[in-house]
Parts: sequence; C-alpha cells; structure tokens
Amino acid sequence: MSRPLAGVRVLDFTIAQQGPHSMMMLAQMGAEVIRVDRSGPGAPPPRTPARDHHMVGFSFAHALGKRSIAVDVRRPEGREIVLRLAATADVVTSNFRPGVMEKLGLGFDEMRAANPRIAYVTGSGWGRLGPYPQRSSLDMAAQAAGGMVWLSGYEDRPPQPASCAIADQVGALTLCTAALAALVRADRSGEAVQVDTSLYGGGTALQAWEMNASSLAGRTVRSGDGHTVLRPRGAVWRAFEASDGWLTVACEDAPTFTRLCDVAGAPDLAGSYPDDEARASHLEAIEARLAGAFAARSVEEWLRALRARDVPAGRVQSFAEVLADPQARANGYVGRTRHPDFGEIDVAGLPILFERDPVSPPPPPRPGADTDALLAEVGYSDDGIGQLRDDGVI
Amino acid sequence: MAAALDGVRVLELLPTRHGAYATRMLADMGARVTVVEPPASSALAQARFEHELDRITYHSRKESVVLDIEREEALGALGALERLAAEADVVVRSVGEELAERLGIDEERLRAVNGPLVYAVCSGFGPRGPLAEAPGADLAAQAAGGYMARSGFEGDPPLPAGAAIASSTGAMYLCSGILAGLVRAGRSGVGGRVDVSLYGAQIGIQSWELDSQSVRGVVSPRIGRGHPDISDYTLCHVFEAKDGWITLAGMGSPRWEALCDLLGLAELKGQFMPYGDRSKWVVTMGDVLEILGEHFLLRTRAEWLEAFERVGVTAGSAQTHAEILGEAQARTNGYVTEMAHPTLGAITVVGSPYVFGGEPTTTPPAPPPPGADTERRLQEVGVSADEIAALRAKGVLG
Repeated sequence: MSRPLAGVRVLDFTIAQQGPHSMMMLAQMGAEVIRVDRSGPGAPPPRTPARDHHMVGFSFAHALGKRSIAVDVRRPEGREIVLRLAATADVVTSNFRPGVMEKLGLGFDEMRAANPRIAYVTGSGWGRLGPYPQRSSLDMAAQAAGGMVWLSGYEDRPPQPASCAIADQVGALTLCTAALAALVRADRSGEAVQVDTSLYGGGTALQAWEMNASSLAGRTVRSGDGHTVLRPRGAVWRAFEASDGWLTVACEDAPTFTRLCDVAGAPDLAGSYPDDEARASHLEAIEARLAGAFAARSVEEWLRALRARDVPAGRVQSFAEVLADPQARANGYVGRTRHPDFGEIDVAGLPILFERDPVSPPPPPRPGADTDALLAEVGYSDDGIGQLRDDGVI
Repeated sequence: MAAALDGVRVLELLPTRHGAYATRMLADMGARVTVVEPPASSALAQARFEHELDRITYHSRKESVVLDIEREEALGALGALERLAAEADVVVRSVGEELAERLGIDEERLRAVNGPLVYAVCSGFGPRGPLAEAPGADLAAQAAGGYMARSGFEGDPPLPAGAAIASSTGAMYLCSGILAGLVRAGRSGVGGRVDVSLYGAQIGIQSWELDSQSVRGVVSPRIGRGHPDISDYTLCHVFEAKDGWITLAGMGSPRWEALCDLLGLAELKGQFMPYGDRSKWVVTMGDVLEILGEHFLLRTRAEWLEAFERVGVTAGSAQTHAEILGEAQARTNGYVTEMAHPTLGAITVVGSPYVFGGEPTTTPPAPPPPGADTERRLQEVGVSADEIAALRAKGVLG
C-alpha cells in the first residue's frame, strides 16, 4: 500500500523548528515536500555544523525526506517561480511573523489566485488575532507563556523548563494537524482553505487537562515529582529507585493499586487504602512502603513483574539507552539514515506507523539540490534556468 | 464557512486519554465523534471517564453511547457497534491487540463491515517489538523516552514534566496520522491503519535533541534551569523578576549587546559572546546568570517583556494557569474559551489551537454524561426500536 500522502505536494517556506518539523512529518507520510531555501544577496551560505556541535541534530532533524529549491523570492522572477510551483501544490506553509508573506506578494489571496484549491497554512508565535500577534517568540518564551514552565517542578523551587524544546515541537504537531485538516477540507470542498496555529496555542493545548483542572479548582498544585491532577486523586504516579536504576509506576485506579501492592509484596496496603480518598490522604506513607520494596530488586525484575500483572511502568532511560532500545527500533521510532556529511547515523523516526510498517528515515537534502529539476517540471527551459542562475535568482 | 472536518464521522472505542484527546481535537475541527463507553459495572470501566474534569477535557463536543461489549451475552451489542462502525470514516481503539480480538473490535472484523475505514490504534509502546502488549501510561513513556533523566537538576531524582506530555503529544501524532489516513481515503478509497504509542510520541518530541546525542555521542548535562543542549552556549534560562519568573529564549551576539545596553552593562559586551567561541569568554555563564539575575529582580515581568521587545530580545513570562485563563491573546484566538456547563455554570476551559479562515473555534458544548446519546445514535444507524428494547432488557445499554 502506498504511503498515505503519496501524490500530495507541499510548498514549504518555514523556518526554525515549528514549521520545518511539521512539514518533515508530511514528507515522511509520503508527501512531496519542497523546501524553499533562500538564495540571493544576504542569504546565509548553507553549512553543515561540526559533528560535535551542540545543536548538530537541529541541522537535519527537521529536514529528512524533503526536496529543496533555492530561490530569491524577493525578486519578481523568484516570486513567479514559487507561484508556478504553488499552482501544482496542495499545501503552502510558512511561519514568518504575520505580514511577511503578504509583503512578498505570497499571501493567501495571491496563492489562492494561483491555485483556487490551495490549503494555506501559517504558523505563528502568538496567533494572528489578539493584542500582540507581532511579538517575537521562540521555544523558551512559548514554554513560559504557555504555563508548563511554572507548572513543572517542586512547589518550593523555581519554575522548571522542559528537557526538550517542547513548545517548538508541539507547535510542529499542531501545525501538522492544521495542514492536514485544511487539506481534507480543500479536497472535500474543492475550495481554498486558510488556517493558523501558534506556539502559544500549542502550549495551551498541550496542557488542556491540567489547565482545566486549575480552572475548575480555582488553584493549582505544581506537579513536582508527580502530577497535578493525578496525585490528589490518590494515584501512585512517580519514579522509584530500584537496586540498579530508576523506574516509574503509573497506577491510578483501585484494581491496579491492588495488583501493584501484590507485586511489591505489600498486599495489606490495598486493604488499608481501598479507595481514592484513602490513598490520596496517605500517599506519602504508601509510597514510602513501596519505595522500600523497590530498592531491593533490579529495574528489569520489577518491570517484568509489574507488566505481568498489567501495572503500567517504565524504565528511566538515558538517550543512549533509547537509541539502542529494541522496542524503539522495532517500531521505527529510532532508525538509520544516510547523512550526506556524517554517513550512516541513527536518528529519531516518524512515530506514526501506517499498516504497522515502520519506514526508514529518509536522508536530508542539500539546499538547492532539486532546483533545476523542479524548474524544468513547471515549464522552464534549460536556457531559462541558466539565465535565472546568471541573474542570481536561483 | 463550514468547519474543516464537517461531514467526517469518528467512532471511538473504549478510550484512554491519549486517544480521547486526539478525537477531541478532531471534534473541535468539525468531525462528529461518537465515543463508546463501557457501563460502570464493566471490567473495562477504566475506559469510562467518571471525573467531570476528564469529561470536559476529553469528551466535550462528542456524543456518548454506552454499550457493554465485554460480556459474552452482549453479542447483540457488538452488532450495534458494527453498525456504528459501518457509517464511520475513522475508528479509534485504545485497547491492546489481544483484547481487541477477544472483544471483536479488531481491524479485520471492522474492516469487513467498512473497507475504506481509517483504523487507528493507541498503545503504550507501539504495535511491534517485545513490549507490544505491555501496559502503557504517560509516565512510563516519559521515563522510557529519556525525558525524565534529563529533566531537573543534577543529583535530584528523575523529574517528569508538569503535564502529561506523552499523552497529549501522542494525541497530536495520532490526530496527524488519522488526518493523513483521511486524505488517502478521500483520494484513493483506502483509509488504512494508523498506530501511535505514548513511547513513540515521547521520542518524537525530542527528535533533534536525540539526533544530536546520536551524532555527537556526548551525554548532555541535566537541564537545570535551561535546556540541556543550548543553555551552556546562550541565555536560555529561567530568571526571577519582581513579581514572578521570566525566561530568556536564547540570543546571538547582536541581541546580547542590546541587552547589555538595556541593563547598563556595556562592559560585559566583549566578555561574553553567546554561541561564540567559549575559550574567548572572560566571564563564565555562571557569572552572567548571577549578574543578570540581580538586575531582573528589580522590575516586573510586564516591564521586562516590554523592554525586551523594544530591543528585539525574545523572552517569556512564566505565566500561571490562572493568568493564561484570563489572558487576552489566548482568549481572542480561542486557545482559551468559555463553556456553559449544566452543573458548574459558566467555566473557563482550554479551547482549540486552530484558527480556520480567521475565525477562532466556536465555544464547545458541555460533555455528554455516559450514554446520553445511546438510543438516538443507534436509531440513526438503523438499529430498530425493538432491537434497542431487547438490548436494554439484556442490560447491555447504558
């Protein structure tokens, strides 16, 4: 069976992480994603960071499987090229500050004129409505504004940022879903569709449950080493130290608690604290007993015993362990690709399986690698392409 | 304009929060979502959300049907379920493969009544590999995915995120996969199968950081108050202000110099160059954090954000939930909205992150109580009044 987005063409003007990662997801789902790279005066020369650079992963993790055209869209000839490509595309995406695409003559109206069935998708920092659509944003600003920095960590300590660029990545996820919903709509209606989503909107959507809890309760308990909603319900929801490392246990109902207590050799606890209220008011004592039990055996022994009794649990793994984990490899969450500079490397794959069939992550493009082929496809002759190159448009 | 997913029908079977949030997002975009919940007495009752907070978050804008498909004598209920599946574009299932086969809701069975269906499955660790049937949970995925080992300060126990991030992002990945399946179903008549796990989502949201580790082979320090891979190189940290906390979101040298001018610290300009050659730094990152920290205490978050914006420094205020719930930008874009709830009254809730055609998403109606739509939905898919009465007599409807 073909990949689900086979035959879908995307014109990708996005920068940073939110846009590029979302469009890479479309590429890995089978779409032909054409990344529009900068060309002309002021365009930074493409460069590969050193292998030991602290952000080396950023340079390719959002690009796998894309094609690339390098064009100066500020020139009329460059604008003509991208409008011709837009006429052949299903989706156009950008995530500049509101107004930039319009200034380039590439706003929704111009794109719709070029292609009356286009899904026109924008990502922004704060949303295009409201008092400050133009304010600049980056991951750490959006993490803070979205509330997760303040929610995370212990009550008596400063707010705690996430250990990954989560606002950017959730921005990518909401942008991906927005693009696909717009495409479904455009396909069904035969009309152009416009949609916007933002880092800020993604941040609130990420914590809908926790924020609704704050709203209903009129107060918030910071999550600390547990969870703001679940621990007040008496859930055993935290990490425990075993003899050779850490594991987490996620137990939020009475039947699971009974099985957990059995596994931990403390069946009396289940009898003493049979309901949510009793567990919630004695959670520290319960967890102290469990912690004492967990310290005696290895993580692997506990995981086997807990899973055999259907108690959710996980090993606290390092990134090195994740990269080597047979479970991650079996599902394509980690796979091998060929990087043009680094050779064969292990990378994160698309965590969406179709037909239960993991796909190897494709390699990233070199900027401008597909310029000539794409121009030929939309009607430029060899001479015309040569002229555009001589003029510095491509 | 009609909602984006107007006309799309989704059937959700025995939900977890992971799957239920994906279908809630589809419902917010216009899909008609029917959730099949078990009766309270069922052995599968954890799929029935009893807390009103959970129903508000996960089941608003859905219809609820209660069917007991777990008991042997409930075969009639399965027939009713198949009729619901026959008219759906998407089925989402949140139980494991073995249980799905035992219940008769596996892909093969439902595809027999609806070939083009998008059949979506949520799991803890993915459909393949040694943990394919292992029980999953958000916190198990945060641990296994490598998040908790990097979060927090050196010496502390592993620290989870404040929110159930594997579950929420798992929902967003699932939503993407379902929508891609709908595109294929619309174009070629084949919906296919989609699988997303909490573990996969947790890995996916750390893609570039994991790729960096893979290529560099260097273990990053725990995050502390910044980001494990960035905050040794630039100002990407939490700071205390006069009335709360702010973050700087990273900057290169031009913005750093502008920040120095803003703070009256011109002498620091040449002593520290974000993202630059650290061997040329005259002061350490620790020194800079301390100096800036003293300054930031002097003014409020709003004053700092305004000043930073003027000089092009990107920053954020560590807003509390209460602040976000009342915040104008979030409200205007529909990220936060109001709900009229029959018992709780007017409540403020998280809305939808999508703005289609310049219009924020409409206010969601309150969630249905379990089984609120059972009879009506069954009638709509052709189950007769007599059949419904017989099912009710057997005790399989709610």
